[in-house]
Amino acid sequence: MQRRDDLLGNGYLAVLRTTFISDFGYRIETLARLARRLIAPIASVILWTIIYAASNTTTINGFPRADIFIYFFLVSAIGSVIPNANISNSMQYDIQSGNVATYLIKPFIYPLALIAETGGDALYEFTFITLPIFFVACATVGFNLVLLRVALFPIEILLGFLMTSLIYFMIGCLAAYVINISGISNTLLWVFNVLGGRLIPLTLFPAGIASVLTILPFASIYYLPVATISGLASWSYITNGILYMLGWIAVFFLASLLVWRVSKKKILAAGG
Amino acid sequence: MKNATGEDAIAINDVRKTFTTYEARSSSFLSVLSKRKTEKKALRGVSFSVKKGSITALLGKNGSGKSTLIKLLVGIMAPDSGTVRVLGMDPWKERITLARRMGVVLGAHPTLYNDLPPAQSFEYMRRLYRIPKNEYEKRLRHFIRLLELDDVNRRQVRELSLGERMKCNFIAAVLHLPDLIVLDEPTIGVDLPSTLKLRATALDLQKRYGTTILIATHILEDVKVLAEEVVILDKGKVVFNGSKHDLSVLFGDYKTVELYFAKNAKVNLSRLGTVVDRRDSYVKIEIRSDKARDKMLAELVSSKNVVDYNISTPEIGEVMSKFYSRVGGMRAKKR
Repeated sequence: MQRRDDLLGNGYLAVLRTTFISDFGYRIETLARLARRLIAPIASVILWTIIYAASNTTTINGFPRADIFIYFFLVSAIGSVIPNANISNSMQYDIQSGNVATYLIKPFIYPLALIAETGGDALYEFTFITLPIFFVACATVGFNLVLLRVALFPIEILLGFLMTSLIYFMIGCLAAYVINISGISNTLLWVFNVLGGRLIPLTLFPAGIASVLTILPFASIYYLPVATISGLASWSYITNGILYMLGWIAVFFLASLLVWRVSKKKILAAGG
Repeated sequence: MKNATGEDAIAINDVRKTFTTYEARSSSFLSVLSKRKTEKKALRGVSFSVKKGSITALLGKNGSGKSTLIKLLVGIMAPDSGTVRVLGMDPWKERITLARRMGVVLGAHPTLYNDLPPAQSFEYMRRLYRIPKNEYEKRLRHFIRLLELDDVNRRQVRELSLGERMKCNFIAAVLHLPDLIVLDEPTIGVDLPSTLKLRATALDLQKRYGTTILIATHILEDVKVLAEEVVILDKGKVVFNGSKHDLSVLFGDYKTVELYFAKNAKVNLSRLGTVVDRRDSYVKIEIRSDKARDKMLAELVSSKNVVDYNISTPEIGEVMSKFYSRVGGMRAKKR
């Protein structure tokens, strides 16, 4: 009963809540990040507009030129929440500095406390960066919102957050062995960017590659939520995408348990 | 060694812990590519117990095994062999349950949120430990009054002085009124007024709630003011385990006497003790405590040869210094 209470208890909600409030301390930084997220997609929009113009076409592989603007702005908005590299950065810091002890002296399971902490950051980013960009993009382009697609959008982001948190948690565990994981973490981020649809919408890849990418976990990070809300994805694509995502979460969850089991002693020994 | 009983908050028996580390083979540029595996025995059969409701000081030089022992006590790591019981639990297996009944202050790792006022971190602790709101407010008022923190509670932690931060950190660790508090260097770098307040609050917790306190420190004044029992570690072994009084009796059983002699006074001090300083008519002498010497000293200071004198018993710092030199001496002889 006590264990169940510790797993599901409000301790982790307290972490999430306090992290969310703590992020309010950096309001100017939030505005700067919001500005960066609004400016960053402009380059992609310009580049793809030129490619469409040079091709003298309005649709490439079923991706309409008119959707370029909304696609890259929404991808930029989601990028503030996922992929969640904060978790591996935090672990690297905790292991290097011995700060892991500050979690372990409290009634916490370390990985869950980390997810709760980065969840607080993600919720803050979603509220003050993702949603404002989403509304700005909607108001600018004025695309039709379908209620079910709107409802699925935050759920897919949440699943993407969980999935990338598990991946970065496993990378974070490596810090117990190699100490500095910044290189691995950044490389993975670029894998997500290229294969997850941040730089190139997945449908613009050659058909064979695009169909493989759809099955891989990367597709659900950027492409699936954006394609869902913007109406680019069919209902069957969305259903399959969510099922793939749930499957990958289960795989990464089990893998994380295994990695945690192997590295736990070494990580905890860094505390103090 | 004292045997562990049901009255013990901490019972440690024959605990051993060895770490594997990798050392560079040389100091050359390419040494990072070639490392030698070495083993460091951090704890070599440590046994001691801490009675419920007592304040025990854990002393030892850097590298003596104090930090490793604290990690074992709070469940951060498991021993290679031996048993550790804290509040009747195995810390490694029951860390989370134990954490609810324990408060830990790590001087080097504050737990407060830097970007928030302490009030928010306290509220976080209230939620974490599920302290009823009215009870929480009562406790918080009490600790804030004791530690004189009224004007800092609503300022951001990063704007507070080290002393203020440490006091807030202390409150965060004890708000849930734990049965056992482990303080690891709680007054390190803290100014004297804040240190005094922290000590007073620790004593208040012990008296008011019967809290057991284990304090690992290098600051001997902490030991003098707070501790009843003392455990000293040296190179992973317990080299002293007893009361503070026993430590003074064993290693502080002498007094320092400063004597100011009259002109032309002729006195033989060699039978009385060891002369440690002599200038003109002033002599400083260390005298071991026994009846014969005490009688000789009483006769000397009441004689016409002595115009003034001052007798003092050694401070805990001097006792510890003697202790360490004695331990070092014994080890040198063994070799």
